[in-house]
Order: sequence, then structure tokens, then C-alpha cells
Amino acid sequence: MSVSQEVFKIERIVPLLAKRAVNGEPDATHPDVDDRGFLTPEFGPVVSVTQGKTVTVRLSRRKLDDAAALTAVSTDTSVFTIADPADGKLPNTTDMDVQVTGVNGGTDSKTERLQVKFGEFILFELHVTVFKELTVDVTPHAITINGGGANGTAPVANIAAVMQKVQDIWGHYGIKIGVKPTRSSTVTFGTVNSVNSNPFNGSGEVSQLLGTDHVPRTINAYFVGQIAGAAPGLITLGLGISRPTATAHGMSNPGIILADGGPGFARSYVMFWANDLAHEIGHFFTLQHVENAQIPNDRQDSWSRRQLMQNRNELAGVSPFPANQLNNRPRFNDTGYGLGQARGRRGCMVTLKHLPQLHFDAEATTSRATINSPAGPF
Amino acid sequence: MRFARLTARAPLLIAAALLMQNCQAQEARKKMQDLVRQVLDKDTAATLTARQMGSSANLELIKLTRNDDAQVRRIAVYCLEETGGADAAVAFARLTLDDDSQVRAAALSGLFRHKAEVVPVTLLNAFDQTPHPYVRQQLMLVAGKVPGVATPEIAKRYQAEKDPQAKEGLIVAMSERGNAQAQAEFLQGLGASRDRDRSRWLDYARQIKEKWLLPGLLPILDDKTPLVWIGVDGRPDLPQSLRACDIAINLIAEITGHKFSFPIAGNVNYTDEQIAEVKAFLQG
Repeated sequence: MSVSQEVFKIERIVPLLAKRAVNGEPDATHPDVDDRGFLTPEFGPVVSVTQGKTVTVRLSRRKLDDAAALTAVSTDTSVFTIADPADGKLPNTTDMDVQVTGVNGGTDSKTERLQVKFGEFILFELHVTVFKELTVDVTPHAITINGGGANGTAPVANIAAVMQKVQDIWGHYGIKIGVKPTRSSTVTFGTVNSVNSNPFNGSGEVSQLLGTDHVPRTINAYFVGQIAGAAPGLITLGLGISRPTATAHGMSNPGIILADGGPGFARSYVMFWANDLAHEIGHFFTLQHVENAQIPNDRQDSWSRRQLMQNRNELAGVSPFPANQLNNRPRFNDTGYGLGQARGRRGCMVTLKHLPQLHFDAEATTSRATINSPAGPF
Repeated sequence: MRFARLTARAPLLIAAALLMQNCQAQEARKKMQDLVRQVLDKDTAATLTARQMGSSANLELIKLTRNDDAQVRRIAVYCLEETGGADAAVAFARLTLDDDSQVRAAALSGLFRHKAEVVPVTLLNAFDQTPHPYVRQQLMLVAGKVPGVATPEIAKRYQAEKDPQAKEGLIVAMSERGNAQAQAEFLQGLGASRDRDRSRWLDYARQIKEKWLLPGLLPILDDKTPLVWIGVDGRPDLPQSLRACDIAINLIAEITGHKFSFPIAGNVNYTDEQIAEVKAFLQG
């Protein structure tokens, strides 16, 4: 095996890398890999698995011959094991899928390393964090809105399918979304099939909706036809009102509102709802948008666009790229989670690392701490 | 004549009353069975049933807090939080020692919500027994607000505690009880904090709301780090986050009762001029 590489001053040689093993929508067995940077304490990528579950992660040879014999080992099999290949011997292919099983997350989480060896030489390390499973209950509500003397119609969202996708997204971080039976209600507002987000206070329609059949100690998700009252030129498809937001605006209950569409516009696929709902649940876990940057100054670099807490469900166009964003221009429009209806779709990665240059990182840790706090994410 | 008629009807009336009582008892039994089934099914809507039933459901709910399944225990604690009562408060203190982190969190939530019913000795015993520094921290946040927990009991633990996370709760509790050393430590902790840690310290300050906090809040007025997400996706016209300085101004206004030239609200990002006005007031 020989590799030729011309090096000017310093160059990082990457023999192997780890990445999500599939492209497209999230599922329960293919977690994203937090591969942002090579700083302390990990000096490499991190992936997570829930205790008792098995997931697949892809190792990919870069500056490494396919013929090189490689072996994968767990540094502590009491924390995680390699389920496949059981003997650790990796195939002689560029992409090599490895299944890891979370054995013991301790009281909250434990981290060990998956080492790839060439003989006795360690070529690569992937940190594997095993999470003990936490449960967050979510109560979906199917809301029919009568108004203007007309009877409304029930929302069209496939709630079961949406909730499954939400579970798939958060499940990788040891957070089980406990989906409760859907509760159906009918309310009467000003306009049929529509909830108006103005005024946004304790007496408006939003506040009334959030008080409808509210179940304590769960995240209440209200599926409706449309949401009106957005700023001119904007269509609102989702409103996430976490406890601090509700308190700040004089509302009694927190909750999430998801619309089937807007005027002349309909959501056309399950992930369009699910990604929104999972993102809003992130706010309930006290997560902010990536580095708390807001539209139109939201971070648009490749990693930020892959994160669940990026601001936009369907990403901003990149051609021509906004002048105020040239410093973090994305290199890819496809974040690996599909292209959505027209443009790139934000990803579903929840960060595992805490990069020192970022204020609001380590999102998985933050989310879990919120769930384990007395107030919880409710 | 009237009395005689009444006497004649008495057996009928007694039978009707007994029947009604029996019906009510049956209904109550049925409700209790429903509640127990909901909890065993891990159905969070059990909290709604528990809320209707009140503390009469506590005996069964407390039994369910001993179930082998942590999720059943968690739902039972959520229900007890809705029903309240002295026996619930005793159960909350015991359940802060549970093996499951979410059951412990739910029990702590119950203690916060039902502070008036807390039995001090159960709180202190839980503090002494738990191996979890976070639980010790939270228990002391409750203890500081329960007059029945004697200050010397908190002070003893304040002196002995070595874990910084647990110590934080003791600093807050002792600060609330007027201890000067703890108050100095509090101001030091607040000043040294950054980002999410600062949010937590400001939260403690919000619980304390006393004048000695003001010198510590002055430098926070220069901190524009967004700390608490209050935004609403889809409504970019509304403020997105409360910054450290916004939270500090709200606190200063609440503590001093001072009327500034601008309205104080929990969903506002104050302007630089408004921040300067508050600074001038504190320095004046």
C-alpha cells in the first residue's frame, strides 16, 4: 500500500472518515456523525447510540488503499460492541458499514472509541457515545377550526407518519418521543380552517388554541389547516411556543402548532411536517437556532445547514448567495437529507461536540439536561 | 300530620340516600380504577383524571410510585403533582432518591410546586442520602424557600458540601437566608458566569429578588448575549431571545420598583439608550 501526496507546509492527511450511512430522510438506524473539526477533547468525529439499540455508521477510505486490511475494535465492550462485522475485520471496499450496539450508558451517557487498526497501528478513532434512554411524551391534537359561519375540515397531516419521523430524529440522542393517542377537537375562530397569530398574546387565537385540551407534562402538538397573521410575504407553517415564550407573551400554555399549508401552498411530504416538529421540540429542549443567528443572518455554512436547529426548513437559495453571508457560504446545497420541494432541506443533526468557539453547542447534552430538570421541556 | 307523613317516608328517603351514596362510591371506585389503568398504561392524560380526583387518589398513586417500571413511577409522580397534599410531598422527597433520572426530576418538580406542604425532615434526609449533586442542588433551592427548614440545618450542609454543583444550591439557599458570605459567593458566581451558566444564575437571582443583588446586576447590563429563547419560528417580527441585559433590567425594575421612562416587559429587547438609563440609575 502506498500513497503519494504532495505537501506544501502542512496538510492534514485523512486515511478514513466516518459519516451517515444513508442519504435522504432520517431513520431509526442511521445516525448522523458529528464530524465538525478536530479539536479537543475528541480530536475526531463522534456518533451516538441509545443503550440497547444497534445503529449503522459508514467508514469511508480516503487516503487509504482498498486492499489494506483493517480491523475495528471497541475500546470498552462494556460500553459498546461492534455487532457487525462481529470479528471486526472490515471489508476491502471504499465504504465500510459498521454496526455498533450501545451496551451501557451509565446514569446518563458514556463515551468510548471505535478504533480502526492497520495491524497494531491505530489509523482512526470514532468516539461512540452511548446514551441511557429518556422519554419525552408528545400529545398530538387534530384540530378542526370552524369560523365565519362555515364548518371547518380536519387537518390532512398523516400524524402517525409524522410522529414516527420525529422519533427517528431524536431517537439517536437517547431521547424517545413517547407518542400519545391523538386527541381531536373542534374550535371556533374568526376564519374557517385558520388560526390567526395576531394578536400574539394571552387573548389571541393562538393562546386559545394552546388551552384546548392541553395535557400537562407532555409537549402538545396542534395540527391545523392554516396559520394566518405572518409578516407580509411570509407563510407561517409552524409556531413553536415553548414555556419561556408563552410566559413572555402572557400565554398560559406552551405548545406547537403545525399547519397543513398556507394560502395557495400545501405541504407535500411527511418530512416537511416532521422536520418542523422535531425542530420546535428542539426549542422546547431550550435549544436556540444555530449560534442564535436569526434570519436573514442565519448561519449558512455546510455544517449549520445540516443541523436540525438551522432556522429554515427549506433552505435559502444559494445562487446568487446573499452578500451579507459570504463569510459562511455553504459548499453543498444537499445536506444529505434530501432536497425537499425545491431547494435543499436542513438536516437533522443535533450536535454532540462542544466546540469552544461556539456559544451554544453540545445540543444533545443541553436537551438531555432540560429533560432531566424539574421543569422539564414542558 | 306532616311529621307522620315524613316518618312514613323515612325508610324510602334513607334507602334513596344510601343508594346515592353507593352510586357515588361506585363512581369514585370506577374513576380510581381508570386512573390506575391510565398510569399503568403510561398514559400522561392520567394527570387530567388525577386533577379531577384530587388528593383522594393519593393512596393508590403512592403505591404506583413503587412500581418496577420507571415510566409508571414517573407518570404516578406527575399525577401526584396534580393532586398535592402532605402525603404527596413526603413521597416526592423519597422519590428524589429514585434510580431513574426522570422520576427524580418529576419528584423535584413536585417539591417546587408544593413547597407549602414539604416536611422539612424528609427534604434534609433526601439531601443527605442522594449521591447526585444535581439533586442536592435542587433540594436546597427548595429548602431555601421552606421556612420550616431551619437555617442552621442548611448552614451545616453549606459548610460541608464539596461538590460545586451541589454547593450552588446551598449558596442560593443561604443567600436567601441572609448569609453575607453566601451572598458574596453568589455575586462572584453570577459575575464569573457565561452563556447558559449565566442564564441559570440569573434564574436564581429572579427567585431571590433582593436589593443586595443590584451591584452584581450592574455589569450584566453590558452583556448582550442572547440567553433565553422566546422567539416564535414563523414570526420573525417578534423578539427572538432575551439577552442577559434584558433579564437584568427586568430584575432591577422588579427589585427596586423604580419607574423608568420606558415600559418594562418580559418580551422586549431594550435599546442602548434604555440600558444606559438603567445603568445611570444604579450608579446614581
